[in-house]
Amino acid sequence: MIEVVDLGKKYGEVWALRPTRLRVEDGEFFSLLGPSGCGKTTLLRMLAGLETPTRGEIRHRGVRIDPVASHHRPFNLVFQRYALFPHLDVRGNVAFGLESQRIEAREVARRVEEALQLVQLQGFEARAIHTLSGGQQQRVALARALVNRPAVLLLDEPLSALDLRLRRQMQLELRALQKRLGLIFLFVTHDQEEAMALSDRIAVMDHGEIIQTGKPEDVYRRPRSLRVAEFLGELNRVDGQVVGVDSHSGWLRVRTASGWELRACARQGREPGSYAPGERVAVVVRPECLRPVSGSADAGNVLEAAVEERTFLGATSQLRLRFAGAGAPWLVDLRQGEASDRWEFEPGHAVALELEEPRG
Amino acid sequence: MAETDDRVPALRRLPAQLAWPAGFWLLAVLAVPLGWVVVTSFMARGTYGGVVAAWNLGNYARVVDGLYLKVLGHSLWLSTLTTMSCLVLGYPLAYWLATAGARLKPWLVMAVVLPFWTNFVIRAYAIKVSLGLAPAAWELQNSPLAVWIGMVSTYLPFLVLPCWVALERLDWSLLEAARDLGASGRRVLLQVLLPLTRRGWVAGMIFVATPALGEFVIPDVLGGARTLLIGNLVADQFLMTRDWPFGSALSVLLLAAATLGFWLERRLESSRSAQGSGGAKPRTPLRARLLAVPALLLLLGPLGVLVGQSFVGPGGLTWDWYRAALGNEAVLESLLRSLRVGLGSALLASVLGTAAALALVRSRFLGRPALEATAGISLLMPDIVLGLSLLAWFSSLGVRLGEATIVAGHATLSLPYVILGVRARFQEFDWSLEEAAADLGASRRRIFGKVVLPLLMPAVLAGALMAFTLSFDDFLVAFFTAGPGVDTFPMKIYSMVRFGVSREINALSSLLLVSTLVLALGLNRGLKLTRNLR
Ligand SMILES: Nc1ncnc2c1ncn2[C@@H]1O[C@H](COP(=O)(O)OP(=O)(O)OP(=O)(O)O)[C@@H](O)[C@H]1O
Ligand SMILES: [Mg+2]
Repeated sequence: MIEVVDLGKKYGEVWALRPTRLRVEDGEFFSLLGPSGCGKTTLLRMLAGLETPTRGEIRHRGVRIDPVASHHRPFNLVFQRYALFPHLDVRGNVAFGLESQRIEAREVARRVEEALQLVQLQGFEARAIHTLSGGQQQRVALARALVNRPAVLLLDEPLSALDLRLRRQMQLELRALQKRLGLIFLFVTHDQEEAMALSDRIAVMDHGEIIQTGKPEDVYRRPRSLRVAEFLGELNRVDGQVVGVDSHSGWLRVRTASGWELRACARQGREPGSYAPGERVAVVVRPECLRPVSGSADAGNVLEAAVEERTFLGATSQLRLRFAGAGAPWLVDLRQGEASDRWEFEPGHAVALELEEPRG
Repeated sequence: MAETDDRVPALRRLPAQLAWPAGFWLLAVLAVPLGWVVVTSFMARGTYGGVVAAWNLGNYARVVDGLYLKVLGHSLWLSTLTTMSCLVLGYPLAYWLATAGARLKPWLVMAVVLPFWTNFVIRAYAIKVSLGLAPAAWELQNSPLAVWIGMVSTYLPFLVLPCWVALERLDWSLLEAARDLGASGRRVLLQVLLPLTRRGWVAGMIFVATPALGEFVIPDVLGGARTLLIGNLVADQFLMTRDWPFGSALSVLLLAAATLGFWLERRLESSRSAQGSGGAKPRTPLRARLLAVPALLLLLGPLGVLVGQSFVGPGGLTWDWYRAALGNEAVLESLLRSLRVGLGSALLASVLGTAAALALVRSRFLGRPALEATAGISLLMPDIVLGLSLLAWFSSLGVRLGEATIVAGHATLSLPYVILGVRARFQEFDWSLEEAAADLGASRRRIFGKVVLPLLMPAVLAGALMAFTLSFDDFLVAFFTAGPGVDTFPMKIYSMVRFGVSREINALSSLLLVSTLVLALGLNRGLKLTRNLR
């Protein structure tokens, strides 16, 4: 278990990471997710001991380790650009950490072999680094860190340099590896899909602070703020006023400015009962939670709009809709099974939309 | 990940003391002697050739005297002509170097560097021999053309190498963009290529112009000592007329030129626009290759003639010259001395220089700007200034001249090359490698020994090689610091050339040429120098 208490880093007068609290349990795959420049790397580098915190503590199994020099910490970092030693071959790179600890040569050889097996790079021992492909280099970097049997593996966007296919494949491998080894993986990414696919929990960061922590589903479905919601995927937003609370389901009833009535889920961290009737709220709807229906808008969560544009995206199509009267256009995802190519969805036609019942 | 020098993180900081040996050396064997020359330039000449402390500006007044202004004009003209010729001839060659395929490139590099690595006296001599093959009626011997060829072929590499580096770092997709936008080849050259590589060719021009200003041995050997240049004038004041104050004033002029060059280059460096290399390099156009041919001919032609001539005897092909050369003990002795001096000064320069470069990049200390300036200026300073300032300094201290003083002089000569070369490499060092090593449990000592040093080694070795070459090539510094009877190999050849051509020199030079070539190719193989340069 690692625990970060009040940890902050200032460069000059600017907080790269505002004093932050974070706790990661043993065996967790934990992702730090956030836009570029939000302080992910800074946090990771402080954990690795490569950057001195401006304030705060880092604890590992209850023991403070922030005063411990990098090379004595049981944490290993997989660098954003791998940082493989160009003058050493694959074996030399992987063995580097063990040799630093003066481990006996036979043991080193055995563990290097084991680590290379783990990342499926047997037979690459003598290859020079510059002869490896991006994906292979990434595995060497992984093996180089794992061979030391760290308590925590820190990964700084290790997949960002890979193409989509390889990336998917490496994601699966990483996840499997983590399950097998049972280590803490602290994984930095700015790809929300990647974070959600891999992690037990994620922390969403913005402007140097963690703005929400939780299971991927929770964070996705019940964001604590609009910023989190926006960062995790496309969304449609409509402003309205609380009308009341559905007593047995706990859903809020919200009426929008144009007179629609929607049922929505309370924000993470707030009791439905704490919303006073008349309170102004923003309701966000994910594009995949909307379904086109036949019939008119008489039931509660049905909206009517005109198709403005249809975009083919492969497995899905996306409609851009505009409501009479309402401001910003909305996005709706259609699965191919929903006959996304039907003429009703050509630009100019009117459609009725049903909101999926809120969950969670 | 560029980081300003004043914020070196603890992990990467190195002790400033590393700069002390080199700093001390440059102070004692460069700055103080130069200071002494400056002081002398304000003194007067004693009746019997010594200096007397009668402070005056008379020496400088004499410089602008009509007679000497003409000499100054000659030197300026020679320097300008050489610089412009080198630019026109050298840039296409640099372009070819940058765009050549992997197989051709090492050979082209060799073509540029080989003459650079052959003794300049030999080079001059080779030109003499080549021109001697032309019909006598053309009067090529001792002609301005001979001087021009000698100057250009000697200074060409100084221009080609920085241009090549700049072209290698060019973002070639900008060229494609220009083409794509409909620019003609001419416009691409004038409005894209030249502006983007300005750093390279302006630096190259500075590297040629400043030392060329003090050049006089090449015009002497090839032009038959017909025109008086600043260089001769300075040498005469120190060796013949014994008017040291006036000679010093002239040297101060050359030193000022070097300082100006350094300042210009500095400004160039700070005005550099951020630019990443990238884009696909085009195949070298035929036009560029054709334009590069004259430069290659100038660089290699004379050397080819020299080797060929070394087998020609009165009665056809012969080994006689080789036999004679290897039997000439005085020559062999000087050759051995040059090897000794070269190795000694290279060792000294590379150890001091590497340590200083480490400190310059990774620590802050008081004398840092001074150290950088001293190294930068002495790089541009004409050799004669170093030679005579050492002569003046050593003799005023009463140091006995000999092999040791040559080694000292040569170490000073090459120290800046090592410092600046290793520094450049170290500045490009990927700092995350050190972090990776620390993260993997390596102590600072181990990081330095296992990661930093091995990766810097090519630069250190290149610096040492450069130092050896400079020493082996040098005539002037040795000439002034050797003392009587202690001849280095270039000095020996110089005197042989002066007192009539001996065919032995052909043979000996060819031997040296071939050994240089083998050594260079071997090193290239072993160190993958050309690959690491990329
Ligand atoms: N050495 C430094 N000096 C000054 N500011 C820095 C330094 N390193 C990072 N910062 C600043 O701190 C902030 C956080 O940087 P950090 O590298 O942690 O971002 P990140 O979340 O990893 O971004 P990315 O996704 O682009 O990698 C940024 O605004 C950055 O400019
Ligand atoms: Mg980052």
